[in-house]
Amino acid sequence: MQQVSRSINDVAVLELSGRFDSHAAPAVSAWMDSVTGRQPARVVVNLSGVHFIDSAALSALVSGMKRCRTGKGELYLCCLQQPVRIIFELTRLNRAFTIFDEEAIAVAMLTDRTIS
Amino acid sequence: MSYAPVELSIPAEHRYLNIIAACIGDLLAREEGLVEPAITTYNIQLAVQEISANIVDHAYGAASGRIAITMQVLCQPHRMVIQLLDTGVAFNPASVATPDLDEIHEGGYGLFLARSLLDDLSYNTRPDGNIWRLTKRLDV
Repeated sequence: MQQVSRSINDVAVLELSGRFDSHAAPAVSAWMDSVTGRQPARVVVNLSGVHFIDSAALSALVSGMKRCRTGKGELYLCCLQQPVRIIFELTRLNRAFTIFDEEAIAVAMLTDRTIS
Repeated sequence: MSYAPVELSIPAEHRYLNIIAACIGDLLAREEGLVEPAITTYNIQLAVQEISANIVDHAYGAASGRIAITMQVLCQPHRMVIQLLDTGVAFNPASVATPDLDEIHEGGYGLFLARSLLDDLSYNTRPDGNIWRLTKRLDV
């Protein structure tokens, strides 16, 4: 799996592509650790290039989301391919995450978001 | 029609599990007329990934070992059957509760996903090891 990170308006964006599985998840968790150290962490994970996701990957994302929220930040997802979206629906994690169709909208929503 | 079984043996490490998925994809690419072939393939690949990862993490843990995989497309009914054999610590699938999907969990979705995506999932211990048998119907 490839991962590319960038910062847009103080939002940390992680763009992933390939197979997001139990082998790749630790690297994503390490990235989450690095960006959630500064609070409030505003994170967007762009899954547009991810064609496969497993439960270890879901765990990495849920853990990251919880860490963001604990620090009064937020983690949004965007650009899920259909097979990946189905797994979120099956586990009902589509209700736990805020998911956008486009990265720019996810970043804009976080940029405008008032941290309570 | 039914085809000869394909056998693989891989080290029980997460970095090698994608090899099983690739093999499943290539086998199913030869099956003509599947209903939603991409979704069917993904579902089987994910179920096998979850069981394989379970073997790596729980059957072997910190120990080294191998996973012997046998996969076969069979007819009447048209289905794919995959067997995963390990020689690690035996596992009790019944001890794993279905996650409460109204709550957000950081783990515990693996076996739930495998059960949800397959038509049948069984587990047995034998003298030569522990064997998972995964069955998915192939609708045409």
